Amino acid sequence: MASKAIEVNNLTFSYPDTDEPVLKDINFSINHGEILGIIGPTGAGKSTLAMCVNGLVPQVINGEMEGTVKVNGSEVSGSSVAKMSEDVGFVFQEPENQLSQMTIEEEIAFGMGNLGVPRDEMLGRITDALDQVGLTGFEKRSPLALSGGQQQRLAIAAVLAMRPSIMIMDEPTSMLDPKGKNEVYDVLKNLKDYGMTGIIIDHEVERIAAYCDKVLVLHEGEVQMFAPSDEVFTNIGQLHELTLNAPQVTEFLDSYNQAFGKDVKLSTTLEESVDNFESACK
Amino acid sequence: MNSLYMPKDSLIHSLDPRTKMLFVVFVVASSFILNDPALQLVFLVALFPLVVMAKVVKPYLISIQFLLLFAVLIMTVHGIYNPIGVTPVFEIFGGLTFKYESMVYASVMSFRILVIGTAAVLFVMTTHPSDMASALVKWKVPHSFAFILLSTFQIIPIIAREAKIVMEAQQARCLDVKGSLIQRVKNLVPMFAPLFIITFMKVHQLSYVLECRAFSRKGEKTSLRETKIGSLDYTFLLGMLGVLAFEIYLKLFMMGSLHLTTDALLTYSLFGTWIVFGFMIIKFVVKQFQGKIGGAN
Amino acid sequence: MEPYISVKNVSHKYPNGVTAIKDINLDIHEGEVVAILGSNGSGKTTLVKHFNGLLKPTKGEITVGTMNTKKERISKLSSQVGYVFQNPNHQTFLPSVRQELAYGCKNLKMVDEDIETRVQKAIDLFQLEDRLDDNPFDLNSSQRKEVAMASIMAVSPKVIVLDEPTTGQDHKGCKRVLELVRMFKREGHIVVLITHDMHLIGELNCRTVVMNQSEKIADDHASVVFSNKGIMEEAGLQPPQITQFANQITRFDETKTYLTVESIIEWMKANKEEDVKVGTGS
Ligand SMILES: Nc1ncnc2c1ncn2[C@@H]1O[C@H](COP(=O)(O)OP(=O)(O)OP(=O)(O)O)[C@@H](O)[C@H]1O
Ligand SMILES: Nc1ncnc2c1ncn2[C@@H]1O[C@H](COP(=O)(O)OP(=O)(O)O)[C@@H](O)[C@H]1O
Ligand SMILES: [Mg+2]
Ligand SMILES: [Mg+2]
Repeated sequence: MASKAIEVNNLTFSYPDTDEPVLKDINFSINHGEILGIIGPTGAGKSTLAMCVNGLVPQVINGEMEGTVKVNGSEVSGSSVAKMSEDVGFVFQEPENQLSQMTIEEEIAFGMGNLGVPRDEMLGRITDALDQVGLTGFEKRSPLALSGGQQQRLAIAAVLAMRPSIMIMDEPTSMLDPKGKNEVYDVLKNLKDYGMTGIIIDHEVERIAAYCDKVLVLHEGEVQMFAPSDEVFTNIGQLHELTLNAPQVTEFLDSYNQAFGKDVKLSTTLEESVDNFESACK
Repeated sequence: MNSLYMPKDSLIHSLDPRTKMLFVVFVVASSFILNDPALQLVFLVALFPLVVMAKVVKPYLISIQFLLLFAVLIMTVHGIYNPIGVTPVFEIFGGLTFKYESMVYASVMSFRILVIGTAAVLFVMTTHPSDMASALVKWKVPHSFAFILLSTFQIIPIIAREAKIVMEAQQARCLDVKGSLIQRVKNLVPMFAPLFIITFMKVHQLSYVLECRAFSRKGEKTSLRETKIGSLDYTFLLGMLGVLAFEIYLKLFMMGSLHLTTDALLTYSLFGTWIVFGFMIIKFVVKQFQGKIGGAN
Repeated sequence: MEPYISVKNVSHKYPNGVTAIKDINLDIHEGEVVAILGSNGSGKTTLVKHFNGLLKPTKGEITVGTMNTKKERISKLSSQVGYVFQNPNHQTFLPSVRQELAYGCKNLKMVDEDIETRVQKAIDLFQLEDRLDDNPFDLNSSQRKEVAMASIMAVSPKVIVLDEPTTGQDHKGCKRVLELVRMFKREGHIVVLITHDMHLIGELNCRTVVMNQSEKIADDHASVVFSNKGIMEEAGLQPPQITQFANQITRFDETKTYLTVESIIEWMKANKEEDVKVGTGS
């Protein structure tokens, strides 16, 4: 298929009450089966950008938009958000604002029900989704009687059960324990194996470096970098200028090189860094 | 208590929401057909077994307390001051006389509130909000209307939870919520200002979330919960029809010869509401008092 | 020395029947910084909500200073135990930062001069001079969080409880939280901190309590806990990436647990000439 999974061209967007645009002339595209990580300081416009991809901005959240956003080759502005949700799953930032049903299984069934998934299939998908986020056995509990991290897991499960072909997650691991964070990234990776596409916004640079194919760095509404993840994270100077950081191992290798005048090759993953460092010191 | 809905296993719970909606309509109609205090009282008592059957006696009594407050007010104020009254029944505190016609009027009104209230409480406590919405949709009620109804019910537990968090957050700022009455009135601002803003933001956010969960998508919808009209519903409907027919018969042919409403009945029901109301006040005062000495909680 | 907070055999069962903490014993002394780690739903939030009486133990007892939390009001306990809620919107409602700062002291019916000095101290500590007349709702989310924290600190409680303070914060925000925790410690406060951010613990290198399935399973120095594989595995934790890295480098001191990038660089500098060839202890 020639079309890209997501293609954004000359996107500029302003909210009604802001003078300056929060997104300025954004251009990027990702292929089917790729995972894109978006990083940037708070207020950079990451969430706004993500919401442009499923049409929530500007169809439901109003503002002035220029440029085009295409998903699977067709313009997002051409169909409603609800229609888009058949293909594009969206996990929002705050877990506790995403829960509306009385029990956990109903919470997960809600989206599926709107898509017309038959009841028998629902039951299977609920079991699967709960298993994927580690909430098996919680079916009958009220979503309000969960810990913060459990609520976040539930919000992810509810979208997973809708089986979208593109998954967008806005800081989905902020309240998760380390194991849970890994699980979410593993889920993304699994989706990728099925040819699905993912966008994840997160401050977890180490995991983004390990799991994402490409990384987009957003700062004050502008794309500062858009490249394969090693390329972005080895550019430590620029990241620091943008008040961002690289994975700890990369930071270490960089500090080491500077402190001791060495030239060990920077790497962004744990294993590779160990190899690079060990072999450089032989 | 998390929500108005009480998940229990009972015959009433398993009725189709539409049957229960018809039941509410039936009760409202009946309360107007039977515009006689005695008959309404009988009707109210007759509804109680349903509450027992639905296993919601305690929450029912708690919520009906508030309606009782109205009943007390109406019975007392109207009984004395409503100008339609001519025949004095009894006198308190020297000058204040309760008159027969006014008391009949006031009793009918307050019993009607109680009767309709009972039916409404019964309906809300035994009907799952999503069932209600999907039942309405089956009746070809527009989806958006069903949604407004649904979200109204769903928002209640959410607001209740937020209210609790705000209260905790304010206490964490050394606000004493157990203070004097004046103090409590003052506390309304730190309670309601954040609650209002939070709820507003939540509802907004939630509406985006629902959009992304395909809520307003056109086409067939399915539900995890199954609602079907079964033999139980038909039995119940037939029962209602029977009672309705009997009520109309009473109204048309028997009203003249039936004199259930007496001075004594009116007086006793007035005293009855006063006594229950008195208990409520005593309970409230005792609780306050315990709060004062206990300190904790 | 008498502990300031003493938790004795405490269990808590929520009304829905979930036992969220079981038989916890914990002593916290003056001047300590205590981190609480553990997987989602392990009972961390439930535990710390007992310290200012937001929850009362269903079994066991907690003493804070000389107060038994069961007998004391939340408002009184809160003058000694500051609890910062995650969402500042639950807390702030006054039209200016200055009023927010004074609010807690006013609730405690302090005299005006007293309020004045305390508010001034909070202003200095949090560097809020320029924002005093701003409406908290006009500030961005991280500033608003800080105002909420400052207004809790303004009553100068002995203890400050932070439940996941770095959640949703960018790199800069996380560094600021670290700075604040260090400042609280310097000012002589006890800090109780829940977090899933292992880097933060690495930087603080403080006492670390690990919760798992409602029970306390470890209570030791961060470096000890992080090197205990069994505990880490059981609680679904992961040491910071740099610690995992250092563990695999043969020439680093095996007896040491490195928690930060800087500490390794420091160590290497101290062992200057050896740094390329031999490590110690291996
Ligand atoms: N209000 C509540 N009512 C009933 N159960 C609750 C409530 N809040 C939490 N729980 C349950 O109590 C247990 C402990 O919850 P707690 O919030 O203390 O976890 P936590 O360690 O803070 O987790 P997280 O890291 O996700 O914040 C969990 O199983 C949770 O589902
Ligand atoms: N609904 C909204 N109305 C007006 N301004 C908004 C709205 N949502 C976000 N903003 C503003 O747009 C900017 C970008 O916000 P956001 O996309 O949430 O950034 P990020 O997700 O990177 O933190 C911020 O300055 C924020 O204040
Ligand atoms: Mg965001
Ligand atoms: Mg928690």
